[in-house]
Order: sequence, then C-alpha cells, then structure tokens
Amino acid sequence: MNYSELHCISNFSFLTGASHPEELLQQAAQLGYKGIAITDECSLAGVVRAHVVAKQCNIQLIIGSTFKTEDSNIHFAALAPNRQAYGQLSKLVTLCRRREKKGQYRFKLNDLRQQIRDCLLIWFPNADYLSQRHSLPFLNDLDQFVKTTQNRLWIGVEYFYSDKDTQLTQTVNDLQQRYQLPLIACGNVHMHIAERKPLQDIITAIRLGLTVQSAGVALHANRERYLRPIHEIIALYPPALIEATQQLCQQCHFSLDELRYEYPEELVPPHITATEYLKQLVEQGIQTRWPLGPKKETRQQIQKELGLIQKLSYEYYFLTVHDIVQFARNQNILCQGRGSAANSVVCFCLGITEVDPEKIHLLFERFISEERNEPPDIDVDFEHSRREEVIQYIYKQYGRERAAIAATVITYRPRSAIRDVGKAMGFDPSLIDHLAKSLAWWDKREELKARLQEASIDIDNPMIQIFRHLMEEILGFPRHLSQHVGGFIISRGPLDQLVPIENASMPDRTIIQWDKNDIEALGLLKIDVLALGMLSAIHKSFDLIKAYRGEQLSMAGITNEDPKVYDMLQQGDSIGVFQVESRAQMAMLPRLRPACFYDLVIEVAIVRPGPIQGNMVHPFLKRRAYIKQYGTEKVRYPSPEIQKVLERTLGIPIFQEQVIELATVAAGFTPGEADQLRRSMASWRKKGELQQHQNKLSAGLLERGYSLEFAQRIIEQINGFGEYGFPESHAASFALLVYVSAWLKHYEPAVFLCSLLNSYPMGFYSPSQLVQDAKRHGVKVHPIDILTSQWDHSLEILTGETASEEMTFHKTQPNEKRSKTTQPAVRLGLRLIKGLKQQTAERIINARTKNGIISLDQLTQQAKLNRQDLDCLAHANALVSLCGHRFQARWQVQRIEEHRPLFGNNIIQEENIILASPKTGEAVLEDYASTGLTLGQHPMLLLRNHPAFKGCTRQSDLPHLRHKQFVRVAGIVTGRQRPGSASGVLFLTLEDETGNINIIVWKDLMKRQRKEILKAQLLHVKGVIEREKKVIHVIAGQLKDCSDLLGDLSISSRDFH
Amino acid sequence: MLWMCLHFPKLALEIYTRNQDIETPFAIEETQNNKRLVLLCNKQAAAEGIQAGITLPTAHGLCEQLIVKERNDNLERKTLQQIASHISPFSPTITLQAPNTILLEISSCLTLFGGLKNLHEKIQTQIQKINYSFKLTVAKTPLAAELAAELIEEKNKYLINEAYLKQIPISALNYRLPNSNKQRAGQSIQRDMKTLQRLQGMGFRRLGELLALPKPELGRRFGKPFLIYLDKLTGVTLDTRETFELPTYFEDHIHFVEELTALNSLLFPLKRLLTNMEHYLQQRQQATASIVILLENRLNQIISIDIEFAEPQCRKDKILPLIYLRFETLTLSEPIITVGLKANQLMEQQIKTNSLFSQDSSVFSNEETNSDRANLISRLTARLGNEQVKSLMLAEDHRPESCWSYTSPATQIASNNIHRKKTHRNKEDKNKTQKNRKSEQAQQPRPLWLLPQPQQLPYRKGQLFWHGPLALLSGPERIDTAWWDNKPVNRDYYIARHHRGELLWIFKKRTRTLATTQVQSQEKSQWFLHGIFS
Amino acid sequence: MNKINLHTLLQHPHLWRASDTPAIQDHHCSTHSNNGTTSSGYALFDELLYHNNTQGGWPHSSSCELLSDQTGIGELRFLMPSLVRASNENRWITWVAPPFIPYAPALHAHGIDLNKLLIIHSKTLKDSLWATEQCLQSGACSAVLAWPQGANYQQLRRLQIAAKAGKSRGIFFRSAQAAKEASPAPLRICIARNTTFRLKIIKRPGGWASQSIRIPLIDEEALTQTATLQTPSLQPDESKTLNLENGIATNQPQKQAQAQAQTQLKNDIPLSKGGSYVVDVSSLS
Repeated sequence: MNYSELHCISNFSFLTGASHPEELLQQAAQLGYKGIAITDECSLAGVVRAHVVAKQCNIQLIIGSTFKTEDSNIHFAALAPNRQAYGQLSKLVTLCRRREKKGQYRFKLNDLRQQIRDCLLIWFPNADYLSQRHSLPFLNDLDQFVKTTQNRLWIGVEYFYSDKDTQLTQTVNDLQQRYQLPLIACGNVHMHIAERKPLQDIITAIRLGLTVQSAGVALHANRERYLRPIHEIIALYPPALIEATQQLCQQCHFSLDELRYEYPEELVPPHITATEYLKQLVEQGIQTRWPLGPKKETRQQIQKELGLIQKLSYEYYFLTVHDIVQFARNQNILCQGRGSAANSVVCFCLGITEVDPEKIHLLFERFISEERNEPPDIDVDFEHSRREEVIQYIYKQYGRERAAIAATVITYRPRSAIRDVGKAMGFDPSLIDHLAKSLAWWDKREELKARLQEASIDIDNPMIQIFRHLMEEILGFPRHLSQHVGGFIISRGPLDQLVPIENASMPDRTIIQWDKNDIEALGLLKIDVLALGMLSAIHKSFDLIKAYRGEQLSMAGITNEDPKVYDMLQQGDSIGVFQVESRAQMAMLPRLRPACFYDLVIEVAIVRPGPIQGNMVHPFLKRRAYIKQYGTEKVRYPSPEIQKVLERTLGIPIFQEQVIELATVAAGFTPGEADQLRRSMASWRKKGELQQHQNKLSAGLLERGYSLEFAQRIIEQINGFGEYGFPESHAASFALLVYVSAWLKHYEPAVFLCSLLNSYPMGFYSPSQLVQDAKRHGVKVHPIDILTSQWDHSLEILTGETASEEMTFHKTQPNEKRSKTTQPAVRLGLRLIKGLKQQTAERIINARTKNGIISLDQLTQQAKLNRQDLDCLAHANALVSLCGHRFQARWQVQRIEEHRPLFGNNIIQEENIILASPKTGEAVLEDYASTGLTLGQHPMLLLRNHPAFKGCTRQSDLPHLRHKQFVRVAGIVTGRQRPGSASGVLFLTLEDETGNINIIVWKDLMKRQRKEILKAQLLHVKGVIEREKKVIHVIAGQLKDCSDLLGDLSISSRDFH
Repeated sequence: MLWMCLHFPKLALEIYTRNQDIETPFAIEETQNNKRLVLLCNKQAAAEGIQAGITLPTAHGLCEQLIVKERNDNLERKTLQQIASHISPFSPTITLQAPNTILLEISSCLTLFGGLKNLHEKIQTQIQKINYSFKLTVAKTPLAAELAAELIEEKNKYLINEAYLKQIPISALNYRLPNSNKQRAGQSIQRDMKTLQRLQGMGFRRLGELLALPKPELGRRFGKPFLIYLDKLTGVTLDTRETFELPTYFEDHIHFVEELTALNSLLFPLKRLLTNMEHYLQQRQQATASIVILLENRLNQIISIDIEFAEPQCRKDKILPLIYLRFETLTLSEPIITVGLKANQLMEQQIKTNSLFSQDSSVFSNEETNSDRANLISRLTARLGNEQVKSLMLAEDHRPESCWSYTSPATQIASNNIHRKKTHRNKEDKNKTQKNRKSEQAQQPRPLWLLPQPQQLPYRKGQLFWHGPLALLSGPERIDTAWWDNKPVNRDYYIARHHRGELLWIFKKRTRTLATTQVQSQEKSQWFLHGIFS
Repeated sequence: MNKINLHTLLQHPHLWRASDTPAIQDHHCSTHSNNGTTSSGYALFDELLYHNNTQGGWPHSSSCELLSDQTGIGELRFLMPSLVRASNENRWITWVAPPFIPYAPALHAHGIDLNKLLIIHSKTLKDSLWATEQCLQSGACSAVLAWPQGANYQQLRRLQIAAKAGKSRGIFFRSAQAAKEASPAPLRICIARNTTFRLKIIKRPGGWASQSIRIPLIDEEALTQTATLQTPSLQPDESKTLNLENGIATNQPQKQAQAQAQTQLKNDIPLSKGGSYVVDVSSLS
C-alpha cells in the first residue's frame, strides 16, 4: 500500500521541527513513501532545499504550509497542486507575515475568502473541539471555514498513541456528521526519525524559554511524530484514509522548477527584442572602449558570449545588471563588478567592470554553464556609504512588490548552541557562560570535549554525553531568517507569488523567505549589491584631491603602471592598501615583488588558503626566480594545451578557472562537467562527490598520455583549493583597487589617511595603526580640537605654506613631481570621540560658525550640550582650547549642569583652581580609551624602562637580528588573526613605539596560553626570529600578559599603607 | 568623640571555619550580576590559586575538590549581633555596619577602663577569645575608623590621625551610594564609584587634596551628600548612627533540685515556662512560629524537641496540647535535671480584624476555618511527624508517577488563601489559567488509585493475570519521555478488565527509552499494574 | 454510536458538578444541620435513603460504612460526586491510611479541589484511629475516609461521636465480614462488583435493609468502550452514496473487533485501538 505524508514540519518552522528538510525527504524516500509535503508553519523557507533533494531521491514533493487562526481553533495545511495555487499560497504567507513583526504571523479566517482558492486543504481538528462545540462563535468559525473551502477540504486524522487519540476519533466522527468531509491519514511529522525526540524536546524548551525538566506537558508525551514505516501506518489507519493520501498526491503537479526565467522585462524599449537591445548596448560599449576597434579575438569572444547568452535566454539578466550599474555611474557612485560573468567582454562593454578582458584570461564557461543551465552570477561592489542609494533605486525601479533582499538563514553555531542547549538542559548559567566563552572563536566543534574537560566536567556523565550529542545535532539548525548583506531578487511578476515576503527586523525592510543558495538552485535572477569600504575611501580621496588641489582623478585615469607604486608595494609597505594589507599579504609582497598589474592579480589570488594549502606558493616563487634567471623558454610543459592554460601563471595553477580549463583540455571534461567539479570543490562537505571527480580527472589525464605523477600533483593542488579557491575574475577586479589605493597611499598619504579614517570601519587596521603608519610616512596629524575639528577628519594647510601654490601645483605636473613636502596635515574629527553623537557634533560646529565660541558655558548653552556630551569631550581632551587639559576641563565641566536647568547664563564667580596636569602615561591611556589612538607618546615608550621589559628589542631593531636568533619583544596587542587555512597557526600583531611586530603562535603554545592570547592587551613575548628576506616574524615560545602595567601608568604612586 | 571600629574581613568564611579545621580547599561564593563569584577562601584554596573575584567555574577548574558554600547573610548578621553582644559591656553606644563591621563609641568609657591603651587591650583579648580574625582602629569619627579598618595592615598602628587620613587614596574612600541602605542585606558594600571616578578623572589622588579645596566649589560639582560625607569623615558634622540593641528572643530555664524521671512530671514546670513565654509574647504583641524544649539529663546531654506550628502561636493553651501529643511518643532514658524553653522565631501577632464585631454571621468564616484547618495539622504533625501528613498537588509531567506530588498541607492552606484573594481581584485571569489547565490535562481517563510501585503482572500463554485473567479493553497510550533525568519511561498503557469486573490501568514496558538502549530479557513479563479505576 | 469519555460525561447537564455551582446557598444547612444530607450524585441511591421528608443522600455529622472484600471495585467513583461537593467547603477531605495512593490527576479531573485533600500515612491501627477521631471531631474536615480494619465496636462508637461533634462525615471501608457484626454507624452498605457496580444497604436511618441494586458509575462507558472512527469518504467531489458504501465496507471488521473485545476470550487478549485495528497481545511482547 502506498502512503504519502502530507503534514511535515521541518526545522524551518524554527525551534519546532527537529529535522532538516533534506533529512525528511531522504528518509521518506528510503521508507518507500510515494510523496511528502513540507508544510512549515506559515513559511516556504525550507522548500527549495527539499526540492533539490526530492529530485535526487525521486520522490514527489508537495509544497505546502500550515496555518493556525489566532485562537488556535482552526489549524490546517494548504497544499499547492499547480503554479497558480502555489502563487496564492505564497501570497497568503506573505499577507500573514507582513501583518506582524519579524518572526511572527497572523492568519485571519477571512483571508480564505480571497486567497488560496486553488490550494488543497487538510484540516486538523482541535483537540478541544468536544468541549467547545456548544459555543456558537466557535461553530460559526468552523462553518465559515468549511463553507469557503468546500470540495477541496479533507479532515486530517493523526494518531500518536496519545491520550488524545480517542478524543480525536470522537471529534472526527462528530465533524463527519456535521460536514460530511473526506478523511485522510496524516502524521504531523516533526522529525525524520524517532531518535530526534530529545532534540525536539530541547528546541521546544528553547522556544518556550524553559528547561526540559520544567517544560512538562508542553513536550510531546512520546516520540511518535516521526516518519513512520509504512507497516505502522497500515496498522494505525483504515485503508481508505491511506488511499486518500495517494489520491490527493495525484492531484498535485506543481514543481518549483516551473519558477525559472521569471526575469524582469521592462528594460527593453518597445519594438525591439531583448537580444537586439543587448547587442546595441554592447556595440555602443565597443565604440567607447576601443575607439580604434577591438582586436579580432575580442570581437570573436563577444560574438561567442552573445551567442551563448541568447541561447540560454539570459539577455534580461545582463540588461538588469547594466541598468543598475548605469544608475550608479550617473549618480557618481563608484562601483566595480565582480565574478566571472562580470569580467566578460560583454560586461566590459556594458561598463559593469573596468578590468580590460584583454589583460586577463577568462573562461566564459565558468559562469554560464550550458549543461547546468544555471544563471550567471554577478556581484557588484558599491561605495559602502552610498550603497543605500542603489538599493533605493532598485526598489523604485522595480517596485517593492517585485524586488526584495534575500534572506540569510541564521543557524546554530557552537557558541549559540552551547548557550541554548545548555540552558534548555538546565545547566548552571555560570557554567554555560564559562563554556561558551572558553570556546574561542577559532575552536572547531571537536574541541568542545576538551573545553568541557578544562571546566572539570565529567565528560562520561550520561547527561554530558547527551549534551554533546545534542550539540552535534543542533549545529547548523536554522534559528531565524535575517537579511542578506546585499543579495537582491528581482522578478517579472509580483514577487509575493514567487516566494513569500516577510518583515525584517529593520523597519521598512522586507526579505524573502529564501536565501542565496535557494535562489541559485531555482535559477532565479539574483544580483549582489555589495558594499565596499575601499570604494568609499577612494571616492573620498578623489573628492579631497579635487577640493584641495583642484584636480579630478578617476580610477581609469591613474592605472598607469607607475613603478614607484610597485616599489612601495615590493617593500611590503602596504598598510591601508586594499587587500594586500593583511599580515600574510605583507609577508608575500617582498617575495613576489609585483611589478605589473597582472602580478597584482596573482598576488591577490595566491595569498589565499587554497593556493597555500595546495602548496603552490613556493613552486610559484621558485619558478619565478628561475624564469628571471633563465627566461621563459626554459620552462617545460607536458603539452601545448597545458602550456596555454598555465603559462600565464608559470605552470602553477593559481586560479579556479585554470583548474576547470585543465580539466577540459587535459582530461576531456565537458565545460559543464568541469563546472560541476568547481562546485564540488566549493562545497567541501560532499567529499564523496569530489572523489568521483578526481577519479575521472585522473583517468582522463592518464588516458591522454600525462604521467601519473603529473596527474597526482594536479589533484593534490585541486584538493588544496578546497572552498577557498579564488577565481581570476575576482582577483582582477580586486587588483584594480589594489593599484588605485596603493597609488593614493604613495602620492597622497595625507589624503589617503583622511579618507580611510572617514570610511572607517574597514580594512584590517585600527585608526591608531593607520595614524601611526601615516606618521611614519611623514604625515602631520593634529589632535581633535573643539574649535576647529569637523565631524569628519579634514585636511589642514600647514602654516607657512600658501594655498595658491597648492591649488595650482598639480594641474601641470606629472606624478613624479608630487612631493611629500606639499602634503597637508590631517585634523582629527569629532567622529573619533567615543560616545559623541553626530547630531551633537553638528550642533557644536553650527554654534561655532555662527557665533564664534569663547567659553565653555557659551558652548554648552548654544550647542545644547548635556553632561554626557561634555564628559566625552573632556575625556577625549578636545576642550584644550577652552579650558586647558583634561583635569581642568573636567573640573569646569562638572560644575556646568547644576545651574543650567534654571538659568542658562547665571554664571557664578568661582575661585580659580589650578589643577596639576595629567602625567604623560595617564594622558596616553585616556587618549586610547576615548578615541582609540594617541598622538602623544606610545605606551611602550613610557614603559620601556620598566623592569618587566628588560632586554626587549624594539621593532625597528629587529632587522639587525639573525635568523633563528633568540629575542624578546613587547607591545600592545593590535591584531589577532587565525586564517582558516594555516593549520592551527595564529598571528598576533604587537605594536611598540617603533612599529608593528608580527608574532606567530603555533598550535601547542596556543593550547597552553589561550588566556594570554585571548585577553592580554600588553604582551611580552620570548621567541625566535624567523626571517626570509625582508620579512621578519617572531615565533613565540612564551607569552606573558603584562596588561597590568598599563594600569600602572595612571597610578602616580604605590607607596601607601 | 572617639570611635573604635572592629572589622571582620573574613566573617562570611569564618562562620564556617572558626570552630573546625577544614583541611580541604573551601570557599564562599556570592552572586553578583548573575555571576557566581568567589568571595573568600581558606588557605588551602588560596594555595591552589583561588582568589576572591574569580568565577565559580574557574575556581572549580583550578581545584577539583574545592568545597563551595553560598554566602549566608542571615548567619553573618546573627554572628555579628552575637559578637556585638559579646563586647556590649565595653560601650553603651554600639553600631553595626553590615555586613562585617562593628563600631563602638568609647570616649565616655575611657576613664572607666583606664585609658585607651587598656581598653584596646581588653577588647582585643575579648575578641581573640571568640576566634574571628579582625582589624581594629580608633578614630575621631565612625567613618574614618571604618575606612581605616578596611585599609590598615599593621596591628599596632590602630590610632588614626589626620595625617593618615589625608594620605588615603580617593579610590579607596567609603563613600556609599545614597540609597545604599536599600541594598540587599549582607552583600558587599556598594561604593559610589561614579563619584570616586569623577574625582580621579580630575587628577585627585589623595583625600588630602580634596580637603584642601574650597567647599562651595566642591559641593557644586559633587553634590551635597558628598560634602556631608567629607564633613562626617573629618568630624565637622556629627555622624549619628542607629544603636544596636540586643536581639530579642525568649529563653527560660528551670533547674531541678531533684532529678525528674517521669515525663509527666515535666509538664508542670513546662506550664510555668509557657506562662512566662505567653506573658513575654503578649507584652510585645508577638507570636512564635515554633518552640524548642531543651531537656538536660544528668549526663549533661541535651535533648532538644522542636515543635513547629502551622500558624504562629502565642497562647499556652494552644501550645500545651501539642506538647502533650509529642510527649506521648517520647521516652526518657536518663533522669532530667534542667528543662528549658526557647522561642526565637518571633513575629508580629496577626490581629484578626473581624473576630468580635464581624457582621458576617457565618459560623465558619474563611479565616476561622483556615485556622481550624491549620490547628488540625499542628495536632496531627505533632504526634505523627511532618512526613506522615501530606496533601496533594499536580505537576506538569507526562509520567504518571511524576505528574503529581505530595506537598505540605500548610502550603495548601496558604495557597488556598492566596487563591481566594486572587479570584476576587482578577476573575478573567483565573478563567484563562483554568482553561489552560484543562487543555494540559490528560484527556484519557486516569485511575483514582495509583500503586506506589508498578506491580509486575504474570504473563502466561498469551494471557495476563492479576487475581485471574485480564482482558485488554483499550490502548495503547504511549508515554515515552524524560530522557533528561534518571527516571526515563517508555511504556504503553492499556485499560484492562479483570474477570470480576475491576478496571485496571496496566502498562507494557517498551525496551528502548530515549536515554538508554537497554536490552530486556524476554523471560520476565514486561507487563505491570499501575493503577485501579475504582 | 458516539462514545463519550469522562469529560463529555461531566458536561452532561443532568450531572451535578460541584465546581459549577457558585458558593452554594445550602452551604450552611448542608454542613451544619444534624439531619441534613448531601446528594450522592446517584438518584437511585438517594431515593433509597429518603426518609422523614429529608432529601435522600449521604447523612451529615455521622459515619457510614462501605463493606466489601475487594478494593478498587468502584468505591471511589461511587463517592466521587459527593466528595466533589464536599471539596467546595473550606474544610479538609482526609484520607487516613488509604490502601493505595489517591491519584491526584484523576481526582482533579473529577473536579475535586486538591487544596482540600489531606492524606495521613499513619502506620499503626492505633495511630489511624487516633487520627481519624482527631479529624472527625476537629470541625476542620468535611469528610474522613478511613480503613479501620480490626476496630472494635467501642472504637467505632467513639468515631461516630467524633463525627457528630465535628459536624463531619466518616466513611469507613470495612471487610464484608463486618456485616455480621453490630456497628454504631447509622448507615451501612455492602458493595460489590460483577460486571457492574452493585450495592445493598443493610442498615439505614429509619428504614429496612434494601435489595441489591445496580448503580451505573460515572464514566463507566468511557473506560470500557473505545471510540471507532467512522466512515471515511474519499473525494470531496465524489457522491455521497459512494461514501456510504465505502463506510459500510470498512466498518464491518471493526465492529467485529469490538464485539471480540467485549466478550472475554480465553486464550488471547483482544485489543482495539481507535476502533480501527486489533492487536494480539502476544504480538506485543
């Protein structure tokens, strides 16, 4: 006998269902179910995942959702038999969700009059029915419900061997007499296997904010809400009820595959096809990009790309992206497309990217795979401060009903799992807190056991074992939907008939119920509108230069391969420069010594976990050195095909595209197969799948006469790529920004610092580090001053230099004449002050420009400052020009509020008290606390003579030491970093008065000195010098937390008692 | 004025350790902002690296065998009072400063005790006797004495002069939040850190620097309470404190000249003691929730008999019958030489408002029947013991044996009272909770009799027996839950009929529970009788 | 036919339910008049106790005996309606040394206010009798249930006096053997169970012994019979006649099953669940 389960709650009914949709589908298929409906409560969030698996395991998936009226009197599932019904269902979910705030919904009985007319409904009668059946309003509701859903309503009978089964039978009998409805067997499934019951109990307890011990009867009495074997179903229900499930299934024909190609169409002008319009735009682009006409190959590539686009009907996709980018350009918003499709020639012509495709090699199959038939993927980065304008444009252009932001499914991670599961199991709160905190950000899930042992918890205790087991199960469970950073979905028709829309936590923001992967899996149009801080910083730099020097720069205008810029990068002098400012990148720069744009592309891609793990870095550098000595012709390639693929990276595969190309040219993969290989590389979880591809690759290589050794090396490298492989197309887009930012750093360090600080937060470094670096490059930085600082950081002409000279200086001079002596100073802005609001700062600036401020009282009154504002200002030492040093300022500030509320200008004559000024150490510490940086002396300088730091070497002296020499260093901890690739290595950055010291902490030490690594602000390190050329690291042997000494700076004497 | 301050920094710990040597690491914890922190620890614990302020899990991490006790404010307060009464002969003006400080005004008694030095020595010896570690200071003002007692390290420099005061760091000042009196009893003192930090933010480091500033300017900035604090500290303003009064409880003894051997002969002296107590309580309009009868036998062993009341009592004729009841179950092994009576759970007498002039003619007013109900409980428990007199309540659990529990009948009376009051006020609420209750209740019939332990049923040839063969009528109802504690169940419940017609609630044990996978032997019957539908 | 369970039964309009009545008018008379009575909730039984123009039912301020050698035959369900009513008074309903645990969820489901229950676990007959007497005479108990096996006439008399003094009702469960002995209790009832609950009054105030009568206990039906799922019809758009046909066809084996369940079979124990299937108990082991 066939059975289909039509009432299934997955874990996308958050904290209710205890199995992933995928698990439900797989289990149902295994049990031999004909079909299964995923019916999450007022949600379709899990259906795409189910859809993907349904296709794999060949089981009918029915899309549905359950609803309850507010009083819970009516509970039913709506199933979608066809596209129309699906649209209605999606719309109903949207309607109910939009009524309530995030995470909640409200269904009204009246909704049935308008919505889901084509859906099939299963009614789950209320257990309280018998006691309520004498209530007239209750019966009226039921009558209305049955009347509006006539002829497509079943009564779902659900037995669980529970105390309510008998009552249900009576209820159903009674309803039968009243309404004559057909009956159907259902299981109200909450988990795919009965063994999930403990987890189901736990999440129920989490949902209710209780412990399992106290949840009592809110938990189910037994574990019967699982996918039961068919023989149990047969034992439980009369055959007719089981038969009914099959008949219902037969009425359902809808598949999510029908949703494809619902792209917006209106961008195409009338009387012209989309293909023609795209061709027109590309032609226009060719005119501007190559006024003299493109190369022959380029022309051919364009034809090939357009052909493929037409064949797969992706014209609307490219037109949509073009439209958005066009808007940004018109609004003077910097943007840059990313992704392989973005760096196609078509996109170059459409202005989606600035990277000349002739400069880099690109594989078009990467993104438009004919076989996979998946749409291309273009991400566009915009200035982070102006991205909102682009988003608003999209809403305006397509309407809120057709454009929305994709969801991000927030899932359980080790820490949240510890907290929630621990609480639900009734563990001591301080223990949970301790555990959660001791699980450092770099810990993997396996380390939970060790952490438990550290907290001296008996890991053999059965409850602890269950706890660990539950932790394993709950990891990756969805908790709620959040807003994706910038993934937009745009549809042809009303979006709510495609996917349900719900409210996000941000007011006026709505999100759809599917995430990025879901959209991709269905082949819907998605465009990532991302925010990039560096684009803002570059734009701000251009604006500052224009205002200051009267010169309009553009990204395209300065990409002129200036050797001085490359010189700077080769020194590893890259703090603040896009992408190559990280520790690993800075270490690589002096070794790779980039000298041209393509070197930057390689630099960006090679310092990645993939290439590092695949052991490609060393061979590449060696090869490079070899070529420098002997020339390219000395390099041997196994075959001309491979030479073509790998020549540009000297025979070492560095980019994802190369792996794919290798697979096609050397192992006989079709482009589609190669793309599958890439995808399985990306999803490291499916190890089995990757293994298959590897076997095929190896066989293909051997078949074509390559050596086994070569095949193995290639496979090893592919393995190493893992999910971190970087496509050349991305690298190229990034390399452009690397160059531009490096150019700015080199020629306009003051402007660059100012823009970076004004675009903060971004990048790797704190404002303090950026300022330190700029100062080392000769930039003058002025402190925050209540009478001169703006909200933003600003440029100030140094006294003694005339503005006119500055203004005219650059219009005629080439780069080489840009001189550091003409650099302006940077005046720190009020935005740096912790706790000061922008509105407050603006009131200060207004008051200042209107009247000219002469006293604290006047300022307070006119800028309407409260005590908190004044405290912030005094703390940051910003009141010097009005009151003198911090102590003095506070003495004055402290008085102010007391008489302010009564008479603003009732100034009391006070005795003039002169307070001692803060000691240097005190001032430095307060600087750090209030603004995150100091222009005064570095704390390390003040502590340098402290006995604790006896024998410590300054950063500036490190180059004089030998490789492997023993060394002591000390400094403020400014960075902790643990790249996913580097197996167990942790990088620390210490800052002393002369610069940044790079510390490497190996795994063993990390285990032993977790506390120091996590907590210390000031660290003393004993270790060994590790140097390769100009790159110097200290391999840590022992760490000592000296943070206490920082406190000592403020204590003037310790001789009391 | 001259004030002596006795500060007991380790009081919270020493209430446990003073009289016994604890060899294992031991610590006292206190919960602050939802964090359980170590407040004090003994030497052994300190040797393991435990110190005040670390969290409990960290402490356990450092030392596995650490014994931890929660801070006991009540006991601390009582101990402090005890110490105070211990030294009360030295001064008429004694003040307690919770949680661990005692202040004595001593200027008036200096001559009596022969000068400060003598007095100091006397008090020191007196306190050393009771074996608490302490610090002692003498200063012009109570605040200064207190402040110095917390800071001072050296024993012989107990007299605090102005120079010393001026050197005190601002950060250590004991300036308390204005509402510090409201803080939870026993908790560590809450300083007004905000003000102290403000002061330090202006560069002030020592008290002397503050005292040098003009007061109006200081007052404008830090408020009047702070000026008053400074004035009290320096003695400009008088610091009046609430004086400590000896704690009140009733205790009286009668020593017999001749030994008494019969319990009954104790009743007469006990009546006298009860009369005294009644007199004592009535004067104070108090009642007691319990009494303790202390009998000392000739071996100088003390037998103490606790009698708790369901309601506070003050009248001997209500208490005496309860003593009779208890004596009925008591035997004496040795003759008695002393009898004592103690009542220390004193509270205000409940004044019954509607006793005499109540308009309610109903014979059983609620208060009255409640007190009848309570009296009955007192009598029953007096003879049978608390454990044998119980009431029932529901619990939220699926397990038949856990969805109810015994409870103390006294709480039932109390909940009854609350319930009545509540229903008056908020009927709607009641309806709501009742409705909820209803839906939470099991829907299948449950038996009126439950067996204390499920009883195994023999199973032979496909037939169950219990005084004859049984037939299953309905089921199963599957209860499979509680993997989280050590009593998980996995059972199928059925209603069965005995051939005589009794209806039984039986279950079959299922082999797997959620917590463990036990393998059951097939031979034993897995069927059990759990209830009778009577 | 429709089967009903406890809840539906309790909703029956003819069934009197203590919790439904607002703080009762007859509260005082029912608790304080010496010859007052409380309805037992069973009309048949009340009628037997009708005399002297007083309404029939359990007498107040008195003791009565229920005599049987079996425990669990329905004696508690028989008492339930009157105990529900008693729990509405602000007095205890005391159980002195009950043979099993009075099961709180069931008592609550019947409508008894658990706040009024007092369970005394006395260990000896002496303590039990003492506690029973204390409770009866205290005035703080509306009813006292006790199992005074082996108590003599003198002791029972004390209890009867105590019940009078405390305006309480003593309910004493004694063995069938005791019927032959004299007793000071004014009301003595033999109870027994065959397939149904039966009782016979052997002593009553102002009347002769009665015949043995059958008392239909509350929720008997819910306990002994199971509900059957009725005729499923298949398609919403199919005709009704078809539904009926289907129904008859599927219903047949179920009826059989039920018949089996109710006639006791000797060798296997039939079991019906939700009316829809039958399981042999041997298959469960």
